[in-house]
Formats: sequence, structure tokens, C-alpha cells
Amino acid sequence: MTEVITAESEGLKQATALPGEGDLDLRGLVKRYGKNTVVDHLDLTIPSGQLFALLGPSGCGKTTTLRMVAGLEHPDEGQIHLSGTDITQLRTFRRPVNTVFQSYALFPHLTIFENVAFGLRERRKKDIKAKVSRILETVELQAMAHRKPAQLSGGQQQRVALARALVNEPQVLLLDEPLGALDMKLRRQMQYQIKQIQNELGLTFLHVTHDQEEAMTMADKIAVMNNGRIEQMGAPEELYESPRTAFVANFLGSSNLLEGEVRGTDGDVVVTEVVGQQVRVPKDRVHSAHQSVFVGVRPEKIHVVEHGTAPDPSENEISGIVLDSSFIGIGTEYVVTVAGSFEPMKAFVQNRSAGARLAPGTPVSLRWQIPFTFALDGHEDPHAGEGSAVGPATGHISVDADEMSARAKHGPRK
Amino acid sequence: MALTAAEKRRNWTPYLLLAPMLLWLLMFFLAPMVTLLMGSLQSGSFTEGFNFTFEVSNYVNAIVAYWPWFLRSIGYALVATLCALLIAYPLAYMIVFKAGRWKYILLVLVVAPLFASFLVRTLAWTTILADEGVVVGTLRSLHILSPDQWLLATPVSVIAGLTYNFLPFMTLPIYVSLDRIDKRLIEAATDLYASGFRAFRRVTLPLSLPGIVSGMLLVFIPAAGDFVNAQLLGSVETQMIGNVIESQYLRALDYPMASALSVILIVLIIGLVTFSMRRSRADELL
Ligand SMILES: Nc1ncnc2c1ncn2[C@@H]1O[C@H](COP(=O)(O)OP(=O)(O)O)[C@@H](O)[C@H]1O
Ligand SMILES: [Mg+2]
Repeated sequence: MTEVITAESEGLKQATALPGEGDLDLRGLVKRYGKNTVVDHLDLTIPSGQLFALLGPSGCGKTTTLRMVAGLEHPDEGQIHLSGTDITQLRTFRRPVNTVFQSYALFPHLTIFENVAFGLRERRKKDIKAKVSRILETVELQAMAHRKPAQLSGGQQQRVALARALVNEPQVLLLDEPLGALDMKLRRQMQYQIKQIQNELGLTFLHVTHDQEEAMTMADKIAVMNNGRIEQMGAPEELYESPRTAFVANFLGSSNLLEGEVRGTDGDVVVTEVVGQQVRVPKDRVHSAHQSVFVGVRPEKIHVVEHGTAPDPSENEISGIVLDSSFIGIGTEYVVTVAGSFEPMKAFVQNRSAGARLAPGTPVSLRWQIPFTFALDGHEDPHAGEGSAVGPATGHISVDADEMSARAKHGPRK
Repeated sequence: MALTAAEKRRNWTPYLLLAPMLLWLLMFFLAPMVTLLMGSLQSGSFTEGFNFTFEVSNYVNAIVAYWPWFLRSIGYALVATLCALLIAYPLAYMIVFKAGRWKYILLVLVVAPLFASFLVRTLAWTTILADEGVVVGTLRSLHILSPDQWLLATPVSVIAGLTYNFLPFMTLPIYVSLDRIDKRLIEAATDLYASGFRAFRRVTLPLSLPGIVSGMLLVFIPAAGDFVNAQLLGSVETQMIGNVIESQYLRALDYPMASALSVILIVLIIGLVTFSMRRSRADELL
């Protein structure tokens, strides 16, 4: 029986030796638990050789998706293709994919060496000793080879889990929040190490995380998942700079989203009206089929100048009054009330120029380059994805939390 | 420097804390063992009284006269232990992995027989295995038993009785050790190319070994010393050492002989258990 498996997975492996042939393709995947649709017609292509992050809040169906790829869960609808071969019906142990489990799931009765050798032994591989030693060296655990998992620290166990999967050279390595249990410093270190290993081995990594910062630092490409669907997919910069939905805009970093109306076009910009002021949005950054839009800009793209400073035609401008400012070391966060908008705007300004902070009550202009503006569908919930983001990059998430409680008192705008 | 009252009290604290434990050992373990040992070295008779004469010949006589009974007891107990294991393991496995919401109901059913007295349960088996009973009838109609063969009063019925009576003590520890296994480990094994059977062989089975070892001890030890099953389900030819000890105590009233037999049985069991634990290195698992 084992021979058949070996032959099969070898066959799959050889078929994918060509570059660009190892793509993992999820087509219309659906998974329901009772009435609850956990994964909802999910389409996703993970290109071969990339570190691909599946990012989404807790409970959005990431683990379920990963388990379907591993074969531990059976999809109710849809197919999974690996290098063009339909593996939807293939049993778990025949799939050329390996998983790094969230809980590590190391075998407590086996030594580290035997844990790592497990997959190789099952497939009757040769040179097990050399292969295991080499991978243990890669994760810097040679000295631990004869210990049991319980004798290792959390970080070391995590690396064993990684080595145990990697040693099999899977076509796709699935990582389910592999760093979730580690402390901040160790997590940073491992993020770097995992990326390093991925680069060296050139394997395809599908990395699941709810930490937007982790996804952005590590991944070549990110798919943002919400409620069992992919909201948007792209390179980290692309997602951050040009979100297509309110969820993405809020989940990756934070965004100012203001209600607006499309008024017309002017060359390759769309002219919108926001709180009675004109805001210009590049055409390719408008993701709305309606007249009503949410016009967005990231807080750190905005600079705050005192009212009356001469305007710059390459910039958008909205005027308001400083409500609050807080000093966060590397920058200052301003909360600015804008006449005509219930929502205040946030601006994150780096402390590059000397001079006092603008005091609350100061009339100011908020200005930013036109290309940094984006427009979203006005029928969306502008608060989608807020508060579910983890790992503040610069500290403005904590301000979000305060704001959330303020909003909770007033109720949602829509 | 004189010790203050508080310091004196502190010196005594560990002993005070250990006292209940020591008392317990003394009362329930040491005292009976010493009495038994002393008794086994006495001489005399019930009517004339027994005296402690360091009568080692009691042991020689016991072994010479009753070694077949010892052998039979160990043999029956071993077979019953293996039968119990073969029944209990699949049963516990099914309860843990397949029963779903029936899990706890099945678990109650496993221990349910313990609510009836040992004697009553064993007597029930005399009916089940009787010559006119269902089991014998079925086996005869299937030609597994010929019409002039029977089950009751054979080694088969004694071993069946032992297996049945001690089965919960095998099932429960195996159930516990299987239930404790993190199911994600089995998933991890299949993710690492192990088929269902291989995952069982390399993960589930080794992780349930502690349960198997405790279960085997819990069945083998009482089975080796049992006399009820042999008495109710067996015949003269299937008597176990427990029957001999019982009749020496209660009928022959030869207390030294009965004590010597008991001591030999205890030593034999401890020896066998230690030997097999060493051989299988099972102590590392516990
Ligand atoms: N075996 C299961 N039975 C019922 N519901 C489940 C099961 N597994 C997951 N779910 C539900 O599916 C949703 C998505 O779970 P999961 O994929 O683990 O999310 P994530 O990994 O993104 O946090 C959750 O609401 C969870 O409660
Ligand atoms: Mg998860």
C-alpha cells in the first residue's frame, strides 16, 4: 500500500517540476457546518514558489480552507487542483502537501529526530538520517535531535513542526498561524527565518494568519478573507495602497472613509464631492458602480497644515478643526473634526519638523497627494474589518479602539 | 540555643503531614502482610493450636503439592487477560472514535455489570453456558460443538467467566488513554503520509500503551487469585489456586498452609509482572 502512495506522490511531484506548473487552484470551494456556510464559493490561485498569505479575522474560515487543501476536511462543493491535477478526492496521506499545525501536533512519544523522520519513513525514503540532520541544522535544532517534544520550548517546538513538514519537500507547505503562540520578539525572528527558508527552498508556502503586519512583512502575495470569501488579492503594497473594499481598507492598517458623491470625470481622475469639498480620485482607484461612494485616504498620507496656507493643485484638501492630538513617539496622531461629517478624520504625521503640536481648536487643512486617494462602494459598511486587525504597526490601532467605543455610544451612521 | 515552640512545631510538620499516609500503609498493607508471613511459618493444628516455629517446610509442601494449581491459575489468568484485551481495545476504540453522542451511554454500559454483585453475575453465566442454554445450542447447531460436548465445567467457561468479570477493568484504562490522545496528532500523521492503519500503528497504539499495561495488570492480578469463577463455572479439573487457598482456610482449617500458598501467589504475581514490565520496558510508559 505504501509503495502505491509513494509512486503516486512521486508522479505528482515530477509532473510539477516545470516552473509555473505547481500552482494550487481552489475553485468554488464551499464548506458548510449545518446551516453555517464557513467557506463560501472561494476561488483562489496560489502561484508556485511563492509565499502566499491568507489573511483574515478569527473565524473567517482560514483553517477550514487549509484543512480542505490538506484533505482533512471535505468540501461540499468545488474542486482543488494542484499542478492541474484534481486532488479534491485524493485521500490526505496521498496529497503532496504538508501542514504546520497551529498546535504543532508533535508526536509526544517520539524523539525530535523521529518526529521529523515520520513522513520520510512513511514513504520509505532513503538517506533519512542525512535528510533529517540537514533540516534540523536549517532550523538550528541538531542538538535537540534525541529529546522528546515536551523537553523543548515553544519556539523550538514550532521549529520542529516546521522541519517535520519541510523535510518532505511538499509541493505546498500549509502553515496555520504557525507563530500565533510565540511572543512578539520570537515571532519577528521566526517571520524572518520562515521567509528565508522559503526563499532558499523555493517551495510554495500557504501561510494563514490573522495578523496583518505578519502577512505584509512576509508574503509575496496576500489574499484577504472575510466571512468565507476572498475580499481582495494582491501584493502587500497593492492591497494597502489600493483597497477595493471597506473591509480591506480597515483590516490592513486603518483608513479614513468619508461619504461622497461622484460628480463627474476630469481626464483620468474622478471628481467627487465630500462634505461640500471637491476631492479628486484617480480613475483606476475607484471601485464603485454607484454615484455614492466612500472616499478614502490613509492617515499617514495626510499632512496637516494651518488653515490659510496656499493650496497645491496636485493635492486634495479638506478643512477641519483639530479635536485632539496625541504624541506617539515616532509621530503625532491628529483627530480632526470635519464640518458636514459625523466621522472625524485621522491624520498621522511624522515628527520631522520642529515646532509645537497643533493645539485642539486650531483650524487646519488636511492635504494629501491625489494618487493616494481611493473610492469604494458607498453601500458598504464603512466600519467593516475595524477592530479585528491585530498588531499595530505604528500605534494608531489603539486610537481606533477608543474611537470604536465612542462610535458604540452614538451608534452606526448608516 | 533553645528552640522556640514555633520551631519545634515546624520540625514536626513533615511527619505530621505524612502520618495519615504512613498509618494507611501500616494498617492496610504492612499489617496484613506481616500477619500472613508469620502465619505461613507456623506449625500445629487447628485443634491443638498454632505456634510460630519458623516452619519453612510449609512452603516446600505447598509447592510440591499444589504446583499444578499455580500453573493453571497463571495460565487461565493470562488467557483471560489476552481475551479481555482483544475485546476491550476495539470496544474502547469504538467508544472514543466512533460512538459520537452515544459515547457516554456506552461508557455507562461498560461499567453497568459492576452494579450487580460478582456472585450474581457469575451465576448468570451458569445459565448462559448451560447445556440447554443458547450458547451451547448455537454452537452445536453450527457443529462447532458435537452433541456430546459442553461448555460448563470446562476451562473455556472458567476463562470466559474471568474475562467477562474483569472486562471493565481492561476497558476503562484503555478508554481513558485513547480518549486523552489529541486527535490532531492522528491528523498530523495522515498529513505525513500515514494511511489510517499506519497512523493507528505509529501514533494511536503507542500512545494508548499505558492504558493497555494498566488494564492488563488490573485484569491479570485479580484473575490469578480468583476462585469464584472456577468454583461456579468449573469442575474439579479446572480448580485454581484460589480454590485451594479457600478450602485450606475454610475447610481443612490449615492456616499455615493457606498462608504459605497466599504468599507464594503474591510473590509469583509480583515476579511475573516485574519480569514482563522489564521485558516490554513498559515502566517507561507509565
Ligand atoms: N468542525 C466544525 N464544526 C462546526 N463549526 C465549525 C467547525 N470547524 C470550524 N467551524 C466554524 O467555522 C468557522 C470558521 O472556522 P475556522 O476555519 O477555524 O476559522 P479561522 O481559522 O479563520 O479562525 C468558525 O465560525 C467555526 O466556529
Ligand atoms: Mg484558525
